[in-house]
Amino acid sequence: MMTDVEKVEESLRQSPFDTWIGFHVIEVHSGSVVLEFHNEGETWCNPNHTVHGGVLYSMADSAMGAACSVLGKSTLTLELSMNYYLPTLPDSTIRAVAKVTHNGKSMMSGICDFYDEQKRYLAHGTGAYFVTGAVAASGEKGCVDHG
Amino acid sequence: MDDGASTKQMYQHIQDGLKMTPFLSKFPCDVENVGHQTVSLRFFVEGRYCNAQGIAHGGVLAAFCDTVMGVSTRTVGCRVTTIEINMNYIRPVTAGQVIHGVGRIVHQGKRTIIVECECSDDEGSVVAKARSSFFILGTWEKQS
Repeated sequence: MMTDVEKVEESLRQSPFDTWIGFHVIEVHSGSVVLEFHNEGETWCNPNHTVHGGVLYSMADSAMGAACSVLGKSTLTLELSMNYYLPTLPDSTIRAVAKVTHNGKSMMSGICDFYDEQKRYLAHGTGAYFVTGAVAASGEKGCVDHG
Repeated sequence: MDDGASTKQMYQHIQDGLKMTPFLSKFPCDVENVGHQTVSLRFFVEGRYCNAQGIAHGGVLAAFCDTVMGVSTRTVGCRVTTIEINMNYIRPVTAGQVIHGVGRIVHQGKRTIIVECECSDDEGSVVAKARSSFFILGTWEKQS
């Protein structure tokens, strides 16, 4: 039988982007997921020789989305904000700790904290998610309100 | 120096900036337009940038907006780092689409710069909007 970590890892593997970039599931609890990513060399860096904010941002979105899915909901991102506190160094291991803070019928929100392997507190993210339904069977597509 | 020459020089400076960013070898984007405190870039959404729902991952659009807004600060000569970014997702983007991002400086302070970015598709429909604060690390002139 698959563990919760294996189940969430498998659903993350359904996403071409997460598979390509190489995010991995480390821990799963009710409404909480921890992702890890090792940024090798300077590949993911900006001209300041620190990791591009987009990497942490992507991790926040994936981690909070996965945390929503642990509660059985399939979601779409409505809004996401990040605050960057310390530069993320090249060749480091980034850990994203995401928690669902509101589990509503049509809206969910979450927070995500970032640390490196030296336990430096790198960044913090908050997100708002639109609930599209129960966790989709693979291949099922979400829908968006086109207003 | 006339305006045409300075715009051309700035265009080159922006392009050099994109080239010297290792991250962008994974997220290639092209310069579309460079103006007064504004830069627009173009980004092709490949299949690998999509999530399980078949639409562009939120992080990809954020990374693109961060890049557009970051290079926009080059028009005022600043070397910056992102301290905060905020995104609103308006319409889903699918693989094969081209996204145009227009960055515009809203405010330039002594220590921080506020920039906004609007992303639209080929039909001109807005797909996402971003706003970000940047901390000024220095200037590019002094660097080189």
